[in-house]
Amino acid sequence: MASLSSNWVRNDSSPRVVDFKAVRCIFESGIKLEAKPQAVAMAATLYHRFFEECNPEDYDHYLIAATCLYLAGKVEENHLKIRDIVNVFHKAIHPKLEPLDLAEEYWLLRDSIVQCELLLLRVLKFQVSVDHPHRYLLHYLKSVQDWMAPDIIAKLPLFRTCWSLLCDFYHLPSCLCYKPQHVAVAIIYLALECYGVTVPYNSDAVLQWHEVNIYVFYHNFISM
Amino acid sequence: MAEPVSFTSSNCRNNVNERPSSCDSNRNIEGTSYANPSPINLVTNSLQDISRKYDGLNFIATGAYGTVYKARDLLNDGQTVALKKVRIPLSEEGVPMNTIREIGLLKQLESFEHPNIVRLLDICHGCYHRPQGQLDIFLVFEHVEQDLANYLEQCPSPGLGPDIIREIMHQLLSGVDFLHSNRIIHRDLKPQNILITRNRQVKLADFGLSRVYGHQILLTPVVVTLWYRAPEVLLQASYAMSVDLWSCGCIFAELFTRKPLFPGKSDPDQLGKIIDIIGTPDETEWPSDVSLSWTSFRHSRGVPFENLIHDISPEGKDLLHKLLTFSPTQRISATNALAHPYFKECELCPLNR
Ligand SMILES: Nc1ncnc2c1ncn2[C@@H]1O[C@H](COP(=O)(O)OP(=O)(O)O)[C@@H](O)[C@H]1O
Ligand SMILES: [Mg+2]
Repeated sequence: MASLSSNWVRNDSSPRVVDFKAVRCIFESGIKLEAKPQAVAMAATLYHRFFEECNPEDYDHYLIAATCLYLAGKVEENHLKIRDIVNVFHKAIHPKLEPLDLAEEYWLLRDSIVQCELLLLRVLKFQVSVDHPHRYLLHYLKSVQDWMAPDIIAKLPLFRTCWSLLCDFYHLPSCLCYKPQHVAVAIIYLALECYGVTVPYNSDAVLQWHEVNIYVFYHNFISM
Repeated sequence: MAEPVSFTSSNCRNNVNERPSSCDSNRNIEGTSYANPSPINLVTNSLQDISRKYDGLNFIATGAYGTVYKARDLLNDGQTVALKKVRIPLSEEGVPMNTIREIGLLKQLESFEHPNIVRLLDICHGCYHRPQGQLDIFLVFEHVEQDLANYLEQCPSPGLGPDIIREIMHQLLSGVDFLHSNRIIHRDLKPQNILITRNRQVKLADFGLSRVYGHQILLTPVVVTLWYRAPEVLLQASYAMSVDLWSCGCIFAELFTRKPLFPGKSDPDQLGKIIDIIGTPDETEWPSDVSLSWTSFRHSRGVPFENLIHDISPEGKDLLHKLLTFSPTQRISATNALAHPYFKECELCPLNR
């Protein structure tokens, strides 16, 4: 009996590290396949939601991750081919190995993803729509930038930093705990902190510009 | 750490139709099986399966695409629920994208808990027919005592009376407005798909799965009723949300008379009956590129609604006209229908306050 999981899982790591690696594979593969950012974020969300319900020790994290990316492609109308996902994941997990040929192993992996998709839908009960922080982030970032001095803005890669922080944010299950609007604000706040930039007139305001309670989030994030 | 589970296809093909011996097969939904050591089964233990969660199945109806059962929810004090079994096709690519998106949308709609939409309580996997590449899914809904068809049948003479009709219409349009604001077209509004509780709360059912059904062949040779179909649907022209408002118009009239307004027998007959009553539309309103031409219907001047519905008020009549407007672009929207003067006294209805 062929065991795919022995290839795919390294069960020597703690669940947190395994999650981190599996989600990083989702991101790497998503970028290589030119998937939409929402699809990749969706895949990471599905991944964490799945392990919220299921015992992490019972599953092959990389197979779940690959399936999440496949399913997320369908949810976000960004169809990704199973073959591409299998190949790209294989490469991400085993950077030094030769690519898979069309042999038995490929077909087994492919079949496993199809089966595993059913498992995901069953566990998640088809709850597959998510309001992503991406659109809020873009919207808020625009407002904050309009508010700030143009010469400061021009010097900072604020957009890129926010985007990277947002991607990092999806690596831990705590990404399920926050409203998308709060995530967007917190990311911008953190990015500005990183550059030591303050928003003008902020000290005069009755409330801080970010108003929402982001501190819990913030500490959680830093602890990563 | 435990041995990681292996996902081999050879595992999945075994014992797909085996049932656990402890299970009383009489109580099983016919065909429900516990696929064995496939990955799907690994959750059967921790998560509930259909036969484990729901008991005492009674058949309610076989519709065009699904079978509906009444059952008790064992995990919720034996609360009565309605289970709708739909069969989804699986391909080499897994579950079709449309199915995932449509069922996902139903789940998302549910989070709004709209009072005029039937509650979707759960979604369960049923039997996986691997050779045919099909999977049964059970949509678990709250059970509602009656549909509007039964309700009208059982209504004693002289009928519902104007206040109850107004109250039902307001709820019906609120439900439709909610679906439309979520970009869902019901497409098949009719009394059988409108549920009504003992407290006369209206709840829309049977929507949102048109692409799951896709081109599947009908389960039973039931005749899909044409009576509530909008002209543009009968003419197979392009259509939009306004088709639902046409159906609301047909239902509105039926609430008064307790018989269908346009009981057609075929597409042309249905259109003929519509034209007999609402009158021949202007030739410019007839959609282009359709097989039935404007000239193929005899000219009609229409029948005034008050001749057919004696107890309709002037406002009611005006709303009915706006719903049963031939041209889909001129037909009133759900939002505007709710703001129609006909409903101005509706604040008096307890349900809408
Ligand atoms: N939640 C429910 N509670 C009680 N009866 C229901 C419920 N849902 C559907 N039914 C009954 O079953 C019939 C068929 O259900 P429906 O969802 O309309 O399926 P179909 O697609 O087969 O028409 C309905 O006309 C109604 O009488
Ligand atoms: Mg129906």
